[in-house]
Amino acid sequence: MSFWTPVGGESMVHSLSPDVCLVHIFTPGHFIVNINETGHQHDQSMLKVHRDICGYCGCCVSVCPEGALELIDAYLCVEKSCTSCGICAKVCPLGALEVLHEK
Amino acid sequence: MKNKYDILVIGGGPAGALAAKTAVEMGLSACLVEKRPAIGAPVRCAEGIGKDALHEFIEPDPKWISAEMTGASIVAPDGFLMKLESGLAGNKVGYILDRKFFDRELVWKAAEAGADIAVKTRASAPIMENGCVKGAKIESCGKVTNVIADVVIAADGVESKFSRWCGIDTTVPVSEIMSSVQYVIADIDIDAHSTVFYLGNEIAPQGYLWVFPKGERSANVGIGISGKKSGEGHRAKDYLDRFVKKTFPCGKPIEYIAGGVSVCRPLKCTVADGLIIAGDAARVVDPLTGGGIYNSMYTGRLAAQVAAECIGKGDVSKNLIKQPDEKLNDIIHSVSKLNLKEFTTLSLLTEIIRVNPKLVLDLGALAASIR
Repeated sequence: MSFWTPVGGESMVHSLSPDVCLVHIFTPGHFIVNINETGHQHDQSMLKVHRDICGYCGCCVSVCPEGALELIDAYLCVEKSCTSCGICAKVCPLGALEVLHEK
Repeated sequence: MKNKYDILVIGGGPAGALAAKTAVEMGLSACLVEKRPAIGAPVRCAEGIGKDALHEFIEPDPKWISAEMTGASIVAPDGFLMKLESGLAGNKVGYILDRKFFDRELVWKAAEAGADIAVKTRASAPIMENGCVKGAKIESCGKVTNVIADVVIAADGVESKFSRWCGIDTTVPVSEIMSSVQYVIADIDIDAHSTVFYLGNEIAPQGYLWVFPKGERSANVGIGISGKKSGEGHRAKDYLDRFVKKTFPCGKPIEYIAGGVSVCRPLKCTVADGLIIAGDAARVVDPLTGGGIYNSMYTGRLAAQVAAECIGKGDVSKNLIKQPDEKLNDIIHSVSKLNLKEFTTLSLLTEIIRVNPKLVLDLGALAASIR
């Protein structure tokens, strides 16, 4: 079960049930994931890809300990196994990745 | 594209191209898939290669050589410039390639030799049977095909996923990734035949900044900093922009590329049943120079040779596990040393330390980052 909430002018999908594991949010600018491997929401943090900054170089993909990132041509995909650990955001040469902590 | 090949190569960079070309030259059928719509772009490379290293694989062609280098310089943190002419830098130093055309040439040669090539086509999952890689699911323009192969060669670059899907951990430690950015800058005053390396923690923490000429008045101006030194407000781009503003205030950037360069040791295990990993995906970039073109071509070719040998014996599973991996790893390590010599960065560093011993302090950090 999910509903749409506008956040900062963007559309997001929130999962209402911890058993619903797929919460992939597509917006023109961002792709946000806030569900961990087990399908449970954890501390509401999520990885945000600033697509206007991303240089689709794959640096982040190589350091992701979960293998949760994949670069498909010029599009960085974030998979549900992302734990929002922030390693990718640290190494990104351009600053295109950000871990958002939502309360 | 057919549904079955002897060898399926994933990735159309130098490693993949050499793997496909070598495979067909050895009488095997091979298909190379490249996820991007064009071979050679985006470049994600400073494009330097030693002359001898290049000659080992292909005769130089002005079509894809941007500039010829006869010397190299290192600029110390205090601005001290150390120049090495060709004699000191190991004779004819090297070339700055035009990778867009160079990569195309390599893939073209693979195609001419008889390999099938598919662009904008990606491997989205391995096909596994009893733990053995038997091919890959290939996606192209919304269509998914199962392609069966005796051996899959994963040459899918720094952002490699295929080997990971097959159970091999390819994660690069944060301290061993060079977070990199590069501009091609036009209309600047440079020495058109000398590469310049800038060192120092203020310039490029635990890495270096490079100016590699692309012509009389243009150059690849890039930087790699250690992943552990990267963070908000002090990223590779921040350092590079500061340098460019100061050094080339009137330069005109005509290309902007980001990248990650692994400077870890090659993967401990570069093979699995039915799978061989080559190039950046196997983490074979030289940790000191950041150079990877030669090592990629080398491991790509070697992967195909090993695969052909095993296919010839009719046993890709068992034979692939041990003996070729040892061979591959041995060679990767020796290649690493070999390339170092050719690229002469070590001799540059040795020389600059001799001339200006104070630099050891600053270089210590660089050395620590690559250990």
